[in-house]
Amino acid sequence: MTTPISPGGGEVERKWQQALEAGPSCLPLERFAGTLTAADAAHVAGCARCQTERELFAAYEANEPVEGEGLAVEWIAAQTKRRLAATLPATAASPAATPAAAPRTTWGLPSWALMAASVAILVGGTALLVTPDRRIEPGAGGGDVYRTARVEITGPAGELAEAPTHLVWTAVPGAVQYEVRLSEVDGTELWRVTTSSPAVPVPSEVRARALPAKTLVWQVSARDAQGRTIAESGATGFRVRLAPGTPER
Amino acid sequence: MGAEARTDEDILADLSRAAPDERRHLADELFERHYARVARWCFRLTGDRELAADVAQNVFIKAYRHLEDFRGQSRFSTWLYTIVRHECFAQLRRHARDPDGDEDALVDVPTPDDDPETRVARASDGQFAHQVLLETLDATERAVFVLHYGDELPLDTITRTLGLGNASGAKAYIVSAKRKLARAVKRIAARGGRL
Repeated sequence: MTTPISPGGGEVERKWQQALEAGPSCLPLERFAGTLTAADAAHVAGCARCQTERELFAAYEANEPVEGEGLAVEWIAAQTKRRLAATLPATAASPAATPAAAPRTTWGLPSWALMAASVAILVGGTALLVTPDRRIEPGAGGGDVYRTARVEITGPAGELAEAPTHLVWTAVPGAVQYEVRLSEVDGTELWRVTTSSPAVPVPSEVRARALPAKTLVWQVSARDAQGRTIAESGATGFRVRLAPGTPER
Repeated sequence: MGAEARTDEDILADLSRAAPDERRHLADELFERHYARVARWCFRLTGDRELAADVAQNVFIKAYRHLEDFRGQSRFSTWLYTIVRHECFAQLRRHARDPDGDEDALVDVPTPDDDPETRVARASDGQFAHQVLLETLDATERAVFVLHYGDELPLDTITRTLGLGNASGAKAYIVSAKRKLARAVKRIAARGGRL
């Protein structure tokens, strides 16, 4: 995957960036966790990219504190825990019960993230990154089976240029109504609406609550004709980025 | 088995068998073990407490949403690192690469000969460039160079992430790397494209 070139990046920088990208022979990050095979070791010996990734991974694994960062790290960890308590749904997806083929990751992009990065959509004129809520797993007949127990969020997600005009997801078979909830990261609900369509316009007064650098989270529940919840999305966050030159805090 | 002896993988095994209303509790137990490490890494990479908290939040939301994708062929902490790395680097790429503050020009990607067609093809796979980097730069210069020009990480981020303790941090390494590469490219040209 080619990374977008930064503003001001020249042709030489662009070529270096391309030359330093992970190639098809580069090791998935998981392989750095164990003893390298002879073939892996031979590749790493000739690959500046893999050597750097291995060093980064080793630093992460070592988890050695650096003087002066302790208070910030404690604060971030506490914030993360508090926010997750307020935003994560009450039930978690079950991990795979038995080991199977591990999803290949390439430089920190699990397969689902690569899928996500490959799909950029436009909602309200804003380019958004999409993270799919489904996975592909081997079916009994050898084909791929898509789980449909979740509502797949289309967007918005991630950092946006402006407040979203619509919230969009993929229709769920059997669903006749969707409930959409938009909240602040601490769980304070800003807006709740029901609709029969897999998209809903965001009213202007709600858009006004999407202040720059403020993360908001939204979720969708799908209901059948009997009013039963048949699928739910994960909590999806977005925020409007600050205008260039605006201080973060 | 006591709670202290439980590994991440033990908790994940319990998660795979747990009733839906028990899974959240087990996920909390699992994540609790990793908050500090993820927070530390997000802080080093972003250099901003608030931004790091946002990124860390996204990391765990994605981990939570994709727990079922975890197949058990790596440790959970390794799998989590792949998400941390992706989220942090994606966040950093949204900002423009900071200037080097160095007057030396970045030398073009070295290639083994001057034939224009070969030059384009070989520049794209970068193998020769990797050889030059590995033979020309020391380990720290090479890591700084790859992270700055390959991943667009700002120099101050690289300084924190690699724990560089010298006064000017990554900048000193990028300056020396560029000078060494410029000399190496001249040398390679003088040898007719050989290292």
